[in-house]
Amino acid sequence: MRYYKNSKAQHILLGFASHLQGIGVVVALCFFLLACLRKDDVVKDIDKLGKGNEVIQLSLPLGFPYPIIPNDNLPTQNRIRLGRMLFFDPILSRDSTVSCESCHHENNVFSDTLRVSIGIEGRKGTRNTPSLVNIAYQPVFFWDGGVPSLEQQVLAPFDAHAEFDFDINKVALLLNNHPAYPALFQKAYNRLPDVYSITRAIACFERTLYGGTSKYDSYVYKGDSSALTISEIRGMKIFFGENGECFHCHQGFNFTDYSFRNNGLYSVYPDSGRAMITLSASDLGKFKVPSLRNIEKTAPYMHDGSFPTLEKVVQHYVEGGRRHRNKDRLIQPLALSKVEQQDLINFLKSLSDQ
Amino acid sequence: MNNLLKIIVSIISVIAFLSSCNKKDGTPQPEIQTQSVSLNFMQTVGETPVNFTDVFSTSDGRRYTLSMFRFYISKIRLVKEDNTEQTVSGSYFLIAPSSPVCELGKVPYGNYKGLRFSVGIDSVTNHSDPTIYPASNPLAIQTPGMHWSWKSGYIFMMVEGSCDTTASKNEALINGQFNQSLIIHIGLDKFYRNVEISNASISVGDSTKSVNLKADMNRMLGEVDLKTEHSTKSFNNSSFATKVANNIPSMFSIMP
Repeated sequence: MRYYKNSKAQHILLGFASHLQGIGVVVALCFFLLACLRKDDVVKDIDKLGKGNEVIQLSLPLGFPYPIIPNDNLPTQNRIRLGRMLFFDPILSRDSTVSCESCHHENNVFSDTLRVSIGIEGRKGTRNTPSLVNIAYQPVFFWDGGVPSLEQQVLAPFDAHAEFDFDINKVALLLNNHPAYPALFQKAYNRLPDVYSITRAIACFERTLYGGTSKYDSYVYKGDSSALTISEIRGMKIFFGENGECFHCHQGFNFTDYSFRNNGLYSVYPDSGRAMITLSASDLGKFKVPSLRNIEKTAPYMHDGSFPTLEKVVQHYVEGGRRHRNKDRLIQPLALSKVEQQDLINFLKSLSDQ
Repeated sequence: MNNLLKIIVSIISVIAFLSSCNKKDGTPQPEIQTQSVSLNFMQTVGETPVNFTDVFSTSDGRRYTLSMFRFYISKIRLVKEDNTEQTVSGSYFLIAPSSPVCELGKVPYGNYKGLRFSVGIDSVTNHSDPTIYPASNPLAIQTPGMHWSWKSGYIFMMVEGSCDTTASKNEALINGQFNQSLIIHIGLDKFYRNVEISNASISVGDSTKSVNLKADMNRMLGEVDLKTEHSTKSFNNSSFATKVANNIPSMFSIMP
């Protein structure tokens, strides 16, 4: 490797030097110096880091765009493996009882089936755990959008009283004294466990979670017209039509426009939602429009898990929600028969990954 | 071989060229004399230095204890006699009883009539990624935390302790604590405050200069009734938070 790089650099220089005169030589030499520097860095890094550090291409479901990934956290096998290990490790919580996976169950589309999340010592949170499937597409995080990146989102459970209730600096200390983690961090990020590398690793793993293998996907992206039943197709027409109006907010391949809206859940909101971040009265009771993919598996529903079933959710929208001055103008009573409501629910269930 | 010769000649000529670039031009520059200046924040309650064991009283006699008193200082500038500003090195400082000093670096000799700084973090830095800083940087995630991870912003001023909210104001301490916990977390861009000390008269000359500043807790609690106002995280109990934030500019004074 060293020899090859060296001769390549010389070759570049020879090529330049034999053709350029005067100031051009300066340019050539700069290239030469740069090539030397880069060669040394690359060789040193590869020697230290070993295999598994090539940036990999994430495999995505058919029809999904490639997500935007920060340049300092491009996916490699070492980073993903490390992030996955941390994700499952209760060392992250104060009493080492709760991990990310405690709420974001791998066997349930990285969500749970509780009304609100439960952290250490059985402490109840105030909001419903979202699925992490397709999380890479979210522009901001939490129901209120308070955090602007997946990496920064990782900080929050450490601080939350009803989640890990710990201190990420103390976690870094524990990880540095762990028999396995320091070497894994070195391999993945070329640095020891710290706030930067912990948050990057977990985010890197989370950006590998995708779901796009539903019956709906077969119908739309694979052109399999037999993938949906007649009832599901009727439900799809309601969803995307004037009868249901669902598509205005739940749009695109991820069935959300990522906006914050008040859907008339309450007249008085115990949780002020987006207004907690913006402190603006016009954002009271607004929450992020959730993706509907795998919705069947992520009951109960709404930001506070107050609706136990999809039937209750559809009933809410059919009735048009409660009065609130911030209620979205799209939330109006719907004229849907019982059969049509069932069709709509059947369609929503066709969004579950197979 | 011919190519190799060209390379050698090129390298020599370029090195000569580059080294000539490094030379300063010949015009003589007037020598500016500078001196190291630091700010030393004395956290007090009135005239008493803050500690985490004593009982303190507000001006209206409400007793309280402290277990935390930390704040961010930034954008420090000295004001010259001609009202122009002398910016200083160093950008963000986290002041606590254990870290009261801001090293301002070298400052030109002269008399400075005023001192300006901000309490808090400017809005751009306030909402940028806090995980990128090395542990030694005041903007890195602190223990205990000075950053709201659920809404991505720094806590500019953090005060914690306990206070006696009983009618008699004679509550006995239990384990060094009064009946009510005292929590003041001031953050949010709207509570970023500029401080101006106009009568500073700081003279920078031959010897290193340490400017002592008082940060008086009781001035920050001015007009606050701890009986009813003892807990705010800025986004809640915002009238209390506003009162405290508005007291911040006047809590600082220069000490002789």
